[in-house]
Amino acid sequence: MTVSPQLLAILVCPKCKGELEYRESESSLVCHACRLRYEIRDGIPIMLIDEAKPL
Amino acid sequence: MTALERVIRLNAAANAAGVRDSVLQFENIATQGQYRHAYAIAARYIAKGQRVLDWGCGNGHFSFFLQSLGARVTGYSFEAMPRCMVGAPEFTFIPGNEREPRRLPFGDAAFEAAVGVGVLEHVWETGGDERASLTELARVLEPGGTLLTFHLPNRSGWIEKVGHRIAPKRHFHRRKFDAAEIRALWAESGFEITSIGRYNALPRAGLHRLPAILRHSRTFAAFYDAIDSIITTIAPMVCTNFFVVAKKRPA
Repeated sequence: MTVSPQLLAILVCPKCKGELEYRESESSLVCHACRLRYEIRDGIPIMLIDEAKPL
Repeated sequence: MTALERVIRLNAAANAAGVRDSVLQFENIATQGQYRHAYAIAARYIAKGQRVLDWGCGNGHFSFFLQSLGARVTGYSFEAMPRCMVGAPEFTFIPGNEREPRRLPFGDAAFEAAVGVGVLEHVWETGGDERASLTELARVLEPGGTLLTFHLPNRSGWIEKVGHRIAPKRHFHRRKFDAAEIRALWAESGFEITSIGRYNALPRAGLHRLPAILRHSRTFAAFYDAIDSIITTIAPMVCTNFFVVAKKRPA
């Protein structure tokens, strides 16, 4: 399930408010500055620091 | 369109979309009438195509309304994705949680408007902070962007005062506001208040217990709304709720 471009355009890392890289194949959004990977579950980005996985 | 017509149309639309049963607020038009002022105010400030954040969207009842205005709604909630948003690409949804209550994962100026219905008075319950929440909402709004706040409990409202005496164990709002406090809080958080007022003078929460012939009746809802509006005009200080319309101050 893909995430809408409009949503991707406004999402930022909740920790540093920095830009995210969308990795469609991994169903995740990556913050390189914080080295965190936010999962996308059933098309819903889980933008929570305590649920993010370290890179 | 009259306030009651708007309620009836939205109720019918929720029924047609198959989401009415999952939304307590839409169970009957008399209960739903408590949002008639919120609907009218939002319709004045929210334009078609605008990016709108429904902050603390809960079961999505207000998101559903905002979408009916043509807004591009993003729901944010500690609860699960509302039923009306499942499989509906016109909505987007981002879950939050109690451990990170003040962080919104949206960029600066991401939205043209934000709406909070019955949310701000509860943030203290999850370790939040009203000023921090409002400041964060200001951050994600464009300069000049609109923040609409509805159902903020009025400190001098009569219903909870009386209700607390009759049934002290029932749920009541522990956090209530007065106008001076709202003005100070909003100003400190980066907003200019456009208008502020009180509404809802009659109880609405228990109306689902009325017989179906009454609670679904257009005539009863019109009568109930009329009495409510008369009391609101005569004695606004006893109303249950505040609405606040505010704009983010330009940088």
